[in-house]
Amino acid sequence: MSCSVEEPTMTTAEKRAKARAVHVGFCCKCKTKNSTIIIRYAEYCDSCFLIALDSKFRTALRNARPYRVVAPENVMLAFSGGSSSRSLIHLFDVFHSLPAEVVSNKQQPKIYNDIHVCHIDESCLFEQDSVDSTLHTTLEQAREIATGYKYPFHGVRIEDIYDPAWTDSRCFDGLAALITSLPKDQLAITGQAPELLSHILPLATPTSGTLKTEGSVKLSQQDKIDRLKALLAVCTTLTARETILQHFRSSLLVQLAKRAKCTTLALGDSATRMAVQIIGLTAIGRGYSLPHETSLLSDWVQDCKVIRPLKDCLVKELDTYCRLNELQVIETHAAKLDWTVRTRGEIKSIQRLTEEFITGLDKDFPSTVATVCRTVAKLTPPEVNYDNRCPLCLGPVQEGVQQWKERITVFTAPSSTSDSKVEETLQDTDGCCSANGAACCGGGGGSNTSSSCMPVAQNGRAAATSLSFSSLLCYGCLTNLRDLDLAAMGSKNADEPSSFDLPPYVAEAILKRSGYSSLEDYAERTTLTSAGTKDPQESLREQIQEFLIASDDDDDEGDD
Amino acid sequence: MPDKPLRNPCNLCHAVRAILKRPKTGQQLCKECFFHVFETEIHNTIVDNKLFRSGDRVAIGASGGKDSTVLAYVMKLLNDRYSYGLDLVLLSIDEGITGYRDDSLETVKRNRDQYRIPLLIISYKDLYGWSMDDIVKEIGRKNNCTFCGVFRRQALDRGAIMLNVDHIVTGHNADDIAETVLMNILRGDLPRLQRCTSIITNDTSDDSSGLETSKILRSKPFKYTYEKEIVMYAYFKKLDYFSTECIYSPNAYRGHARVFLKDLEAIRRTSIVDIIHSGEALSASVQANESTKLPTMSTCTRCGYISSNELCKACLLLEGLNKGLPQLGIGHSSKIRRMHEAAHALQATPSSPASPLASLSTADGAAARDERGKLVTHIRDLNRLETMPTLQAV
Ligand SMILES: [Zn+2]
Ligand SMILES: [Zn+2]
Ligand SMILES: [Zn+2]
Ligand SMILES: [Zn+2]
Repeated sequence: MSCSVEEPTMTTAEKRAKARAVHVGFCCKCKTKNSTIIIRYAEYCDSCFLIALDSKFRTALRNARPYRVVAPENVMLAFSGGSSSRSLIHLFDVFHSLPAEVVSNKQQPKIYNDIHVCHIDESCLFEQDSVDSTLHTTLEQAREIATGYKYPFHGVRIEDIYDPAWTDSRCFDGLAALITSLPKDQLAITGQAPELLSHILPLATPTSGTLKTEGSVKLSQQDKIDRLKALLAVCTTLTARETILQHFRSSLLVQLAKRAKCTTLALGDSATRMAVQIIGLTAIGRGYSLPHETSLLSDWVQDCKVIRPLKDCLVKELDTYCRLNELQVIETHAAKLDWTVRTRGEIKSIQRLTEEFITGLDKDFPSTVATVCRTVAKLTPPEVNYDNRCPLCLGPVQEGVQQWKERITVFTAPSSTSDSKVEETLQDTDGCCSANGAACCGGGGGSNTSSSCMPVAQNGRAAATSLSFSSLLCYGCLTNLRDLDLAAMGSKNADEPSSFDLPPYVAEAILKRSGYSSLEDYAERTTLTSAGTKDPQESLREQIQEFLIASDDDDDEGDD
Repeated sequence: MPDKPLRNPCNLCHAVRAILKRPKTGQQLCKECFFHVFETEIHNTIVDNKLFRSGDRVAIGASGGKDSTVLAYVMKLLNDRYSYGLDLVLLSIDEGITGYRDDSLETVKRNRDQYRIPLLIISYKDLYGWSMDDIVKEIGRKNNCTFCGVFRRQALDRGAIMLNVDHIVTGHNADDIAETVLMNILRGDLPRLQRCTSIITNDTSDDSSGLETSKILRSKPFKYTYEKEIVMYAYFKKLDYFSTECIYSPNAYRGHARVFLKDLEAIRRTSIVDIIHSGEALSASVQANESTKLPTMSTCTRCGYISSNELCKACLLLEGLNKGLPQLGIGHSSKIRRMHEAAHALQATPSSPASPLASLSTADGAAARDERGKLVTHIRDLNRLETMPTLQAV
């Protein structure tokens, strides 16, 4: 059916480039020195290579921010410890160490004012038991490198994602516990991914022994590590763990930049990494936010532009750059999570599979990386209100994704009403409620968006109001959270807690999206609710009553 | 309902024992529930995308393979169940591949009788003067898929015009589309990414190298249907289909993407729809100046088919074949044009027409072309065509 697709044109282009390289053994730039470096089919001598890479970086930087801009801006360089972000620091330094006369004659004024460096220490996730996490800590190594350039350094540990301080309000003392919308015994027999709801809980819990007092709650470092590991443990796939961890990194990096009063966050993503990302994000359903996650310049995050000035440099080039400049990298720096793998089926994540795929393809078709990256440069990110961001990945949310899913993957039995022939003719195509009755689409945005997706929300006994969660998520997160272990989740009536919690920044975002101004506001309104005031969900339910299938006894009947 | 709890009850009806694990969701289902969700999803796709209007005449591109056999069956079933009011016909292309197409056409003929849908078969040999076997004999196995793809696109269109249909439905399934999304990102081809994710198009480019607009709409009701489930459906419905792959090889690059997709699906079963979702979202993000890169269309000076160049791709390929220059028309369009010019130079001494078509196409038929206006036909002698293939009624 689809056998006639031609091979990419790159192979022929590549062959031609190869054929043109007549001066084998000589640098293709100066044509006098012997070549020492081969990048794809181009050969360079050391100094010409450095010049070429430097100018590539400058071009990207200029494209990310025109030289003419007058207002001084501070930039935060995200340093993971690897060769790409290590090169980033050095390239920034070389660029900003221009001779004074060049700077003064405004030929090439500084683009950025102050340069800061930040690092996320992930050593607590290197191995299962972080008995002596100080042994592998990367924070000090990173600090040393940054201070070597006399740049201010900002370090954070990945487990600090559970710290109330790393939120927009910088003191959000709450966590989000997930609960399922259906009783667990029912979940087991439908084999369907449940609608997820959330409870916002004050950070002080019996397990931590910390009681809620005035001011910020202090959690011990170990407590945070335990929570992070508990969350990763309920992910049933390596893909889900890696994806969630990536969201945590992004959230921390933005917070780091904002706190240091940097209006730009520079990432060291190489072309190689971008190509893997582009295919990988596509594969996990994140096509909607992909332009923001891979572009040279993204202005999605409020008050913090994200730039990727190395996105045209291959990882091989950056490795070479580090070697030639004798730049020290941190050998082990990113959490590998291999220790979390429990079954043979989950050894490979989508991210790792994609990495192998792209590197393999790039060997046979050496322009793969460049071609894939070029693709994305031609995309315009979607225009979405930043307030409507996904609480987990903080990315843009496309409307109607739950409905889209429900229409193309049907979960109703033949006898149920959705099959009735009367309601659907070719002309009747509007309304998401036409087909699935109770499982209507979620409302997007606005206050009180506790969506209508909760058929039987009788949570009167619950201590806290359950807020909708699934309906707030972007498609990618919705898909990713299907890989959560349902048994670990709280029960519908919240009489049984979940065995893991999502960090404060997620809880904060949920509240914001749900129309609460603060944790106090939520707590207050919850008290009112339990005192007999109508649950906002109840009133919503009344509005859509006529679309709901009478299901009062559903819970008890189950399947007999 | 039985008092004793069922062993392995169906996840949906809970009344019957499950006999299959649904590839798309991992649910355990009974046969009836599987049929129900499978058919309902296709119905939803048709309804939500407003694919048809009541009274439309719709051709089902039928190859005898599993996709199009199930498509014919399900189209017929849904048309009856939901009273779409469609006038269905089967349209098959006979590429002339011995041992492959002749056998699969027998299957299509049986489908015609089983589903009681009229069938039209159009052959490359009749349309172009060359069967695929002839072409392979002439040029070898390299590039023959280019010929096949170009010829098939036009052949389907031509057949549709003969049958006077409004719409062609094809059996492209979710796996095909996800694979094409990946391919187009890998090749950096955004315009085609957009077209491969749109469920309904008015061009013929969904699976091939050339872009040609057509007046006839094409759509893919199986856009969200997993290949494995199509096989499963055919199996449990005991549908009669032909299961041999085309004997002329598929290409290596697509092979990589296919293997990758299978690996992805093994890791996360929703990957296929997730990729399609991403593809749709990316398509919406394609900058306006990128998406309008479709070449301006006029008509082929030889056959009148819509084309961006003087000659449509089929005519160009045919010219090459007939002149013994089969490389003509394969590869870059600039290269094509250069070779085309070279071919023109050769034309000083016209080679003896290798096929009846060659003589037809050099005949002066400007008047005839004007008469038909923009009607897309490849062979001017329409009368000959209309008498040649008979619509095989049930
Ligand atoms: Zn040199
Ligand atoms: Zn998200
Ligand atoms: Zn069933
Ligand atoms: Zn033509």
